[in-house]
Parts: sequence; structure tokens; C-alpha cells
Amino acid sequence: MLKDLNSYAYISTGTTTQVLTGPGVLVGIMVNTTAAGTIKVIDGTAGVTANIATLKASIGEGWYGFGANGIAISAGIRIVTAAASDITVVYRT
Amino acid sequence: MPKTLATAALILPATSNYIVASVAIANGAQTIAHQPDVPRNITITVTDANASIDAGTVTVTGTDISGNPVSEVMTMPANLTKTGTKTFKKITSVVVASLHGQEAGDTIVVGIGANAQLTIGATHLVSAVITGGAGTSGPYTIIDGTSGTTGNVAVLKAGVREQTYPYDCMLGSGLRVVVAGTESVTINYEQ
Repeated sequence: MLKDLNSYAYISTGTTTQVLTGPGVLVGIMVNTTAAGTIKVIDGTAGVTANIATLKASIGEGWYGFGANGIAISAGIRIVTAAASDITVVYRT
Repeated sequence: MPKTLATAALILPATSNYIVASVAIANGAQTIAHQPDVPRNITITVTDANASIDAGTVTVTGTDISGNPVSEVMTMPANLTKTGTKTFKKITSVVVASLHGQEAGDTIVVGIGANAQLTIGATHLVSAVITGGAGTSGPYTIIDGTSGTTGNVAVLKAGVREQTYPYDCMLGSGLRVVVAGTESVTINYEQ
């Protein structure tokens, strides 16, 4: 039987996505296709100002992890993609 | 305490002659060269060199990922190519029947398509490993589901960099991968 593992959120458009509301753990972000614009990572439920990270436009595809155990999120995971990047956000509650 | 190890699935690119190599088309059972590398759809291609075939069927029979009987039928001359929609884990026969009008130079091949269904149900997607090669890698579309070709987990772009992509997340419905391009991908998963 599979143990309780991470969840994912898939984003492929330029948009603001509230991946999680409430406390949790952000494990990392997989950039599947070289980002077409900045990717802002926010601990919060409003606004578009990054407070965790901003991945630059045209950042290379690959895994952008936040440590072996991830990082604690207090308010929620909010992602702002400035353009149609293809990313997978990995997290757990 | 023993640890559970992931399963590694090497998914080949779509290959038109993988199951039945090119032979002159004739009625009867065709020689199966390989079984599908992973559960996936099949393709059928008949080359009618001078547009002479006016009747016939090609039937591919086997079992799906759950072991249930499954088949695809192509009717000629309306169709000379078919990209199947069903998943074959095993091929038991490829049969040409009621063929009429074939001439020298007319051939058949049966191959593996682009759509691989690795699991059905809850699955831990561990990683995708891109190793690259002389061809074109990807795009590789990763789907949480059992049908379709639209990515809802990831679309690793064409020409994606060779490395390991450690998704490490749970899929709820099943692990499906669409392999475009001419290079394989290794998907590691647990179920």
C-alpha cells in the first residue's frame, strides 16, 4: 500500500493559482518547459508579490526544490505565472 | 526493514514496425517480432503501392493492462493506416483476412503508438529520466488518468534537457505517458 505522499498542481498558462490554502509544505517546483515568463512563489492567499522566490523568465527546465523536507507554508501556496510556463508544483498538507 | 523499490519503465518512442516487421501483405496470421515494451496503443500501416487493394481487414488481438481481451480492426481500403486507441499489454495475434487486390510491393507493418498506460489507479510518480540520444527528445506528456493525450501533470518540452525530473507525487487515477519524438524515456513509479 502506498504511503501518504506529496500532491501536485499542474499549471500551463499565465495565471495566478492558489495551489493550497492554509498551512502546508512546499517541496519544490518542476519546470517542465522553459518558462516563458517569471514564476512568483508566494506564501499567502492574496496579491502577486513574491515572498518565497521568483524564478526568472526563461529559466531552464528542471527541479527547483526547497530542501530535502521542503519548507513550511503558513498561509497558503500561491503561484503567479507571468506567461504560459509549464510547471508542476509539488507540495503536501 | 525492507524498502519498497520503484518500478522502472523504459518507454520506447512510437515505432511503426515494432510488432510486425515489414512483410508482403497476405491473408493469415502475421509473425509477431516483439511484444509491446509497456502497455500502449498500437499502429497499423499498409502500403498499397499502386492503390490496388480493394478489400481486407487487419485484426490485432491481445490483452489490456488488466488482462482483459482487447482488439483493434482496420478495414481496407477505406483505411490503410490506423492509430489505435486501446491499450495492449500483450499481443496474441495479428491476422489479415478477406484480402483482395494486393500486388507486388504491398506491405504491412504493425507498431507501437505514442500512448503508454503504465498503471491504473493510485500511483506514486517518482521521476522521469531523460537520457537523450541522437534523435529528438519529447515532448513527454505525463497524465494522471487513463485516456487522452492532454497533460495534467507535466509536459516536458521537445528537446528537454537530459537529467532526472524527480516529481515525487501521488497520482489518483493512473499513470499515462505520451511519448513524442524519437527518444525513449524512463519513468519510475510505485503502485
